[in-house]
Amino acid sequence: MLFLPFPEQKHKANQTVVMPNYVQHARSSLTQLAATGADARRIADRAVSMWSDVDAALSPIIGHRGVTALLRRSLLLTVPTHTALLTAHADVDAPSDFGALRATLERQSSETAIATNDALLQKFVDLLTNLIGESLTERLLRSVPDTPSSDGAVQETSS
Amino acid sequence: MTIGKALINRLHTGVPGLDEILGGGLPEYSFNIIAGSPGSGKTTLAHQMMFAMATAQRPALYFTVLGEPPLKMLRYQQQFDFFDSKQVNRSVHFFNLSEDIASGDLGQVLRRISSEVETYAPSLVFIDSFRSVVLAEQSGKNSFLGLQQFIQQLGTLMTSWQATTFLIGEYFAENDPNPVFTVADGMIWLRQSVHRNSVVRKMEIAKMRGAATLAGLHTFRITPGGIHVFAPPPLGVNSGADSDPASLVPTRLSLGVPELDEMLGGGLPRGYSLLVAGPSGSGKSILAGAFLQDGGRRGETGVIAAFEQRPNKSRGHAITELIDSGRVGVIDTRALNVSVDEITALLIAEIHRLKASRVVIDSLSGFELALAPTFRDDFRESLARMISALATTGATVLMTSELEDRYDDLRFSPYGTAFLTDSIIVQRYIEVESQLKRVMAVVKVRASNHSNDLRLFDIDNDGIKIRQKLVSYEGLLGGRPTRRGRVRDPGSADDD
Repeated sequence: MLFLPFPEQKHKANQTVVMPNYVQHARSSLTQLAATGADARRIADRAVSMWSDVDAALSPIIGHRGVTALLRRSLLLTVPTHTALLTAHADVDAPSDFGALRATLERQSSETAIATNDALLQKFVDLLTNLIGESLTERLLRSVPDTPSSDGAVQETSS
Repeated sequence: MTIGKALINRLHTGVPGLDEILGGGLPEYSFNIIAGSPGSGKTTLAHQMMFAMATAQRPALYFTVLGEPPLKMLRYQQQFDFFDSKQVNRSVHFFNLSEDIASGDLGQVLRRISSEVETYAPSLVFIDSFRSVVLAEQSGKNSFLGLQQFIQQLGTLMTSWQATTFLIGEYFAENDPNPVFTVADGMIWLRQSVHRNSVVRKMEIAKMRGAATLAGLHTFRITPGGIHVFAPPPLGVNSGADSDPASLVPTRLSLGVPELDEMLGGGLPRGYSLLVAGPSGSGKSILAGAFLQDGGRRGETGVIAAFEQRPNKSRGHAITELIDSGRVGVIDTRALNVSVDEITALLIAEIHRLKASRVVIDSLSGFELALAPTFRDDFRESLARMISALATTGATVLMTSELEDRYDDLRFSPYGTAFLTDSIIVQRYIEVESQLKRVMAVVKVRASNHSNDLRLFDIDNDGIKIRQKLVSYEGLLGGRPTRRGRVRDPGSADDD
């Protein structure tokens, strides 16, 4: 399992929030992939695979539409610092469809794609934490597999 | 011959009071409906039972259909103490059926439920809200499965999987010939009774196959701890649980005022109920305090339910010490719209917890004011039930009651409660030589000799001091006694 007790961080608004380990794990996974020389397309594949796993973990409880609604909101909240996501926000509509996000990440450099995905995932987890609390968020995301269930590397070889 | 019959296990619901009104718990594998208007506590009841009964080996599945968004439901339900996040995805699994039901195909909904049930082999299944299923059936153009078939197949599926099932629904009308009513083994109705501007929550077990439920509407309260149902107090049978501590107490208890004990014929018989009635300021609460203090001195424990207007009002140093040391338990009487059953349940629980031998209710007048208006009409009957229920604990109960001085009307108790209690002490004001004096008399001690004297009494820093009789006066209860013989100051010397 991914989650250990979270290190606490102070939020800007003087509010104690928790850095979710899943966000750290995702960043670490993508950084390691980039270190192997993977391009933005592979980074995007791996990121989308992770998002699919998050969707699979949450959608039985809140529905695919519930996950999509949270993702759209997270995209909008991340746009001020990562404007490239504006296109993805406009195109994300169908449940469990991360194609628009993949397209946005693919167009960036590996480094920027990792930073963008990291910021988006952080917003998503923050939003979920704000709604259902840290303990339950941690509990629900715990079922996300350590290794993406459909790794981008597989897609890389097939393309 | 009972050998070979199926044994219906009873599940402990984890909801205080609910097992009692269910007649000993929820029958295992039963197919139940929890119905009520929006905000009546259906989802809270379901969650509270689920977290109490689910185990990792036999988990609970909670299917949410349309209605309250799952995120909102989780957000609000986790505010309750019973919500244990650690159980989620371990012994409690949530599933969203909104996308399955959007098609209007109940067959698809049933297949999804069936699939999850086969995967998890749950002991408990909740479907919230079932009203959405009914609406989907009504609007479904492409459904090959009717509502009645759906319910029957669902019932069959759950029974064969040995799952205790709950359909949570809104707006079920009691007279509606809904097919689900026939299939259901149990029906729990949650209601909100509105009277003037007060709202009281009530629960009714309208049906529960294989269980001797307690009929009627039972009040319940939703607190941060969850739902607490106030089952009617047990009557007529001594619980026995407290007989041990009570047996350590002498057969007669002192009220903490020696002369008054003498007037009672040697103290108040153990296990008796005593009504102390008198006008405002006559010293009823002081006598009640003396009763508890005397118990404290003898190592006994007590319980007090004080309905005073100011909750933080000092109860006196000695009583405060007893409360702080945990030897006197305090019933929180500040909740709005209480019922007699609620206070009785709290009193009995506290008596059992502390193994208390002395109980004070101060006062019945304040108690009546604290009741929700809907319960006031039945106050006398409820009081009779409460006194009877408290008697089963073996504790000795002192109740005070405001009794307006009426000098043209000789009354010993309000509410016609004189016959309810085993003993009565009345306090009154009289005017003697331009002074307001207090007098006290023992009106009744069931099955015991007692004094019939009307005695003057004073209250000083040490408490109540019983003085002499006023033998040379007559017409005391008229409020303005007149002297029969020589002139003496009734407050300065023994007049016996």
